[in-house]
Amino acid sequence: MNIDYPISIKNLLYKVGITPILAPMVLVDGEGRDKDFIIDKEEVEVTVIGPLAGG
Amino acid sequence: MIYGYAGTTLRINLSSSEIKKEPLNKKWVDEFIGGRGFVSKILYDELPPNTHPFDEENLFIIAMGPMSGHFLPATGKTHFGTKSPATGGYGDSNMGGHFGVTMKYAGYDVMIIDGKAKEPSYIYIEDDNIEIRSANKYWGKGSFDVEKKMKEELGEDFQILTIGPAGENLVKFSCISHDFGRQAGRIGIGAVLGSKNIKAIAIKGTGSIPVFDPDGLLKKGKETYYAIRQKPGFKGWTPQGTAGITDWCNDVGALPTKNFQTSYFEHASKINGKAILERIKITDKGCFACPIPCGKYGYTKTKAGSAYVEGPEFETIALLGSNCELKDIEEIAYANYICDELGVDTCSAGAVVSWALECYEKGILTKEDIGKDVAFGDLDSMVYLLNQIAKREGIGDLLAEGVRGASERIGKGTEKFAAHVKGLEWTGYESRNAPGMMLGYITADIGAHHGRCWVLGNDVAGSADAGNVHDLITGGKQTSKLPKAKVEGVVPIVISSQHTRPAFDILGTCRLQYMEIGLEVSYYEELYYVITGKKLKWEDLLKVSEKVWNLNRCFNLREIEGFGRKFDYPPARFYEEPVPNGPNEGHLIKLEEIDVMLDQFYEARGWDKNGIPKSETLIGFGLEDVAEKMYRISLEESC
Repeated sequence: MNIDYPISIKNLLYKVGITPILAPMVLVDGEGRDKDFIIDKEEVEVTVIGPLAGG
Repeated sequence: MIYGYAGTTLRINLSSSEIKKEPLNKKWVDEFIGGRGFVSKILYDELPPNTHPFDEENLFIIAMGPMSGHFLPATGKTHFGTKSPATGGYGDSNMGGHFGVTMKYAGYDVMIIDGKAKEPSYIYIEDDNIEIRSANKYWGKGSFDVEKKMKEELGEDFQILTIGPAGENLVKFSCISHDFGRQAGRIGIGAVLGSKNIKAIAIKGTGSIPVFDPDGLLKKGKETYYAIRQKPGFKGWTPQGTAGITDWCNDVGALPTKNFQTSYFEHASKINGKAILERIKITDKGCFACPIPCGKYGYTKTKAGSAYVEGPEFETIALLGSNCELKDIEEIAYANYICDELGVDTCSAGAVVSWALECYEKGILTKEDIGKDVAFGDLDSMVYLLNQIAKREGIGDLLAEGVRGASERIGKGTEKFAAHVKGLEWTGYESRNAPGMMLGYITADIGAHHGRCWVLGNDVAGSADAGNVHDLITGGKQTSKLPKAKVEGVVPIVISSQHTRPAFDILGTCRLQYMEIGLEVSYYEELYYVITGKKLKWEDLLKVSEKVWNLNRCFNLREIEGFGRKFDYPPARFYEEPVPNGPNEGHLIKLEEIDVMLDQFYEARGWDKNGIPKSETLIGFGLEDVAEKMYRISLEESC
């Protein structure tokens, strides 16, 4: 999807309609990032993982 | 030959030393598939009613599933069952590693042990050769110590399971240990082995398992590994394993803290998965054939001592960490090591120790009672109490009974904050704003265990839907308050989870590939077919899981005096004391709300208002024999 950047993960989630609290784990190009991380590249792969049990 | 199974049940009577091998019961296979299904069926059919958990007649069962032991993702689970010392009812527990796989290679799907050895012993199995050997030299020693020594004595090819001193001393939350860090932790399974004078089982197997379509299995197995590697969770979840959930649980106000007094721990960022990677981990450690090794083997150094240890996993972080207010991941890891070596379940141990610490803080237990000053957040206090418990010395004799037994004995209102259901201690999810988790915990067959149901994500989603959540930001920062989660609509989600999670215990595989990584159920259906030659739709597996759920309820009805609805409530703290701080400040689930959920839950399950399965429900699952016994007894009593 096309989004204006730079943008924080938190704001990206809002834009696509995902409540950040339901996205405990976000990967940017395969690396775990917190939700204040700023996406400042033109092309990135963002993976959002929902709540998972702890065992 | 039954494809997917080794084909033999091994029966060992320790009193008579009689060892019998018999063909695996085809009815068990057809109707209960394996693992937890076998345990449930065998316990109901073969355990003499009203046997005490420590009677010689109690059964100690190891049961594998059709997917165990193949080169498929995470097929290394070993399933145990017995009448639980913790609850007095149905009990099962499982562990990863390599033991059960080897048991199938030795030729056995099921091992049923009863009786009691005349002296401390271990069971030696090398394919067909089975012996009961003296374990006098191992008795009293720690689990890691014994596993290491037995491997040195017997060889690395042997897989060893052991109990620690806690199991020998019949601590009601003692565990079985294996593979230097894997445990079957729950329900006091280790104490049953201890009651039978069995310190360990050593097994070596050199056989193989017949499969219906070997080429198909090879092809599908490779495909499954490939599919897992492509899942986002493979990269996202695996590095931290289960500990990766710590921050999120804290952010949503579900992290048990200070004996469940609250659900938010301000030091959570010091005890999370990242802290493990930075301060402890040496290497990943996985179970048999697992592509997502969640074990984090490492080294910890503290003022109390240092150790090589696997973990801690999330549940251990929650119960030994935040719930006892340990603020340092290395201290938690060391407490984890002490529990493993002594042979106690880290979940129950954390709940018991934190309960004792609260009793001490409130002046209910004194320095004289305990033997020294103790405090939350103090590793020395924890190590002291854990050792007392394992040896049943001083205050340890009381605490070894678990929080239900201990609180019932001393009274003074301590029952209100004894975190258990049915006698099994609550695990890592504080649930005063998580109605689904609450319902899952209180209705679980073995007591308060997350392995039967996990719907916290649904609860939080319900909470998120219930109000404006746009300011609820995770990511390590203090969160705003969460709205009260919705109680309505949780019952079907809970029941679905209660059938899905234990389904993997029936197949004999780890649920994490599905639960955490998102492997589709179609893989399990297709793998089941190439292994067994039988078609099994996922819905059919869930039906078996539901049947087991009903059978276990009937077992509890038969074995626990007065069993019914009154056994399905949380401790009063959870419905009387609002959460004092954190994201869920002010929230609780009222008793009336719990009752509404229970009414709906029983109705959806086809149980009466007291939580007793109706005759037609049992018959609907093919449990006519159970219905006949239950309702004939009722009829006779009413006459």
